[in-house]
Amino acid sequence: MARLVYRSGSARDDNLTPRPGKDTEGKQGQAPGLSTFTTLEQAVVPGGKAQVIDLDLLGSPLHGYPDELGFEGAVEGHVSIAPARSNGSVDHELLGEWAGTRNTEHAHWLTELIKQAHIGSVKRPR
Amino acid sequence: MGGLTMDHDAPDASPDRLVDQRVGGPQGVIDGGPTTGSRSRQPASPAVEWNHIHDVIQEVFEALAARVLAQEPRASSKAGRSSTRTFALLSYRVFLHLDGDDHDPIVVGISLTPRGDRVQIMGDISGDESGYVYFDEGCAVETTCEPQAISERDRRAACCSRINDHRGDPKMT
Repeated sequence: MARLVYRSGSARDDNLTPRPGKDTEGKQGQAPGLSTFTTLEQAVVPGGKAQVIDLDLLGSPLHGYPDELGFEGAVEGHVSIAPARSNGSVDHELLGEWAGTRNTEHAHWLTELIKQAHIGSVKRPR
Repeated sequence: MGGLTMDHDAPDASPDRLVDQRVGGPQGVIDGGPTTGSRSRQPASPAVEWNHIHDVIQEVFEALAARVLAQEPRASSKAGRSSTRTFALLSYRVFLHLDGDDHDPIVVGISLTPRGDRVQIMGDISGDESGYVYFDEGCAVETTCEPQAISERDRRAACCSRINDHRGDPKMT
């Protein structure tokens, strides 16, 4: 799996936190979590900006889950970042707690882990 | 303010450059408190008073917000800041859409990235979630770590934002 993934948008805490609902409910072939892509072209439109996250720098329990190709909802290059249980499955309870802090003044500690894996911002050429 | 360089031709960081930045940039991190949350760390840059830099940027952003409000009384915005492994400071003002839609608010932001004894300052107006860049022309500069130099460059980068008050965004008009 690629080590670097791209998250469209800013490095604000809100944008580095999953959205309740949309990001906490997975679909077939795609785990719930913070949506990222392995290529800049998939993440943003030409001229757009993305944040670069190094999956190797993600602190536990965060984990990058690539889509399982072959399922209807899977997208090649899509990686969901979500907290993992000890057995490797997504910790839905913790993910929900994390998403619940979006649009609040409080940055969840999982958002802080994302920020510590943030290695820069990049703009896609027009 | 000796030793200043303008970097108008390189506002974009390529993935290769990012890797270089990660490998060759400031390796040390220190515990930092000025961001939200309790587990933040900032790139090592002890000579720089980030709180002051943030205040300088926000002065300009407040003026921008006042200008927007003067033209659109329904406009609302919120100041904020953050930091990451790479950004010693991300100072921003987020403008909410007039229709109440909380998707992809518009962020006027400036990031400061220490690189050895220099600081890269980049600013833009962009969609918080989409990353769509409304404006970033001439908003990338690099300067020394001297507080005065950074303040001046920050003010300049922030002022770049003032020439565009989102008139091109259909949701803001």
